[in-house]
Amino acid sequence: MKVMDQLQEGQVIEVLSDNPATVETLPALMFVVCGTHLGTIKELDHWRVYLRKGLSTD
Amino acid sequence: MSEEHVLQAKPAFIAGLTQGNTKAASIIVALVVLGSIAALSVDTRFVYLLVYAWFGLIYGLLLQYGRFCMASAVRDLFAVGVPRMAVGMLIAVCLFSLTAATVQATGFSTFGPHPLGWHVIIGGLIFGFGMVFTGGCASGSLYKAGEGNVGSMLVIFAISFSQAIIVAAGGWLDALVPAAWTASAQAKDMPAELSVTQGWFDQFTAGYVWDLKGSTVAADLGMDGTVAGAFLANALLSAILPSLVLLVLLYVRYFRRSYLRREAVAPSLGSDLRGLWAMVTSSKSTALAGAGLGIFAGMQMWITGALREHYNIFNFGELLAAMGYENGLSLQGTVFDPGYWYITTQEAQWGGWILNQLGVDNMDNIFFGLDNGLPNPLLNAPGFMSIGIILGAAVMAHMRREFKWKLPSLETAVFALVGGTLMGIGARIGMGCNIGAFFATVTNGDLSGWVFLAGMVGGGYLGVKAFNTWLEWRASRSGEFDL
Repeated sequence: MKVMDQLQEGQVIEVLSDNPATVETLPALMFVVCGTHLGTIKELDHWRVYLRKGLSTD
Repeated sequence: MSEEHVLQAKPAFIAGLTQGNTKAASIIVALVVLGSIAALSVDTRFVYLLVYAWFGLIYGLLLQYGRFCMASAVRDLFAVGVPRMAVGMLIAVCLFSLTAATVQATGFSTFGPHPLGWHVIIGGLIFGFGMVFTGGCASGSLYKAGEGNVGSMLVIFAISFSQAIIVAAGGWLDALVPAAWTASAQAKDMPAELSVTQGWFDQFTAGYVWDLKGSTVAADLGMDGTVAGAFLANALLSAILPSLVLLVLLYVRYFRRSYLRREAVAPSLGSDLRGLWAMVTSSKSTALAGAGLGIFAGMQMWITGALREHYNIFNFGELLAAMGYENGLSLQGTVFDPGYWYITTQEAQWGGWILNQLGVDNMDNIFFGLDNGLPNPLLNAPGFMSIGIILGAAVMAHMRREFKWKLPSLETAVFALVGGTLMGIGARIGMGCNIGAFFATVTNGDLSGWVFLAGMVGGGYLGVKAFNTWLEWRASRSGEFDL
């Protein structure tokens, strides 16, 4: 949350996590903070979650 | 990285779920099938125990699929304002109340209401506080153990032994027992083997809890035993309406503002109803898991009730005695056998049985000696439900390529043991956990579950505050960057 506060509108952050619950929560978190969940990539032993500050302009 | 590349990666993630380790998952299922066949070949009456085991397996599959955990529900709400898991939990409550009402209407319900008193909210408070530090509720710790999380296994260990010790503890704790409890316990003329005036938990149980009243909404309205009582009183009034109120509160507090901004719509009844629906369906896996848990929890109660009628028994202890297994039965010839989803009491029995095998005399108390017994874990039917949850979660985790042996850090291990101990103490004081004292009660018309939830959420709130304070203190000392 603090990292998101430091981003400029439109900037993207990559989050690495091996916690399935966290990976599930992040997209829901983006919804309530009006951010955008761009995607989640499953690696062998962790996930990469891409989040953008601000709403999607798609 | 371009956005296009990231977006293209999404299907790969979904595809990964279907390219999991089906071999490992198949081996686990095959072992459960073989174990079931072996048990039935010994005595077909073990089907009663296997119902627990297989429903546990189903719960484990669903819990892992939806990452269903009430600790997550509380932590996500108070730490980051995300209502996803709380919503899934309320969906499960609504659906379980309907299946439970169906079971009540058919006369196969195994549910008994919990006595309502201050102990329920105090137990919930302690349980909720501890739950935040372990990172998993009672059922969540089981499914996370199935994912290979060793920290969650420590939580189960702590829940088991803390309960086993607390229900048999005496000594200086007895000095804290009000004289009125001792007198009331003594007046009940209990069997001498139980020595109910020694041990605080015995006096708490016989001198306080047994003097309280437990009831259902249907009974309070004079509709007990009727179809209308089951559906209108016990399901609609006890579970569905309070759940809908909570869903609206969650929407207004955590979801509405971002929904209206995201959709660029003006506030109106129509947009709010669409927003409410968007919140309910925002995490489909959680919503689906909640729906599945609600339906299967009712089915388990119905099947167990039907088996009791088939074997003409009231408790699995009678069946064990008939099969020649009398060791570990209580003075009443019973064992713990709720007939529905439950977590903590069978874990207390695991810890208690091990202590008993090590020479501790812990059958002289009400919890083990009179009510629940201390059966061998191989004969503990609800125990197999918990094992089933672990195995079911392992199956799903393997299929989704999410199984991973994860060792806790020293800090996580300490939190798991301390938090798990608090959960065990809270569960015994509150007479259950997030499943037995909340989920199974409110869905069967017993309002005491909402009181337990209030305590659990309050404890969870305090736990989140304490946990955040700890994280900030640690970060300030080490200079690390905290999230």
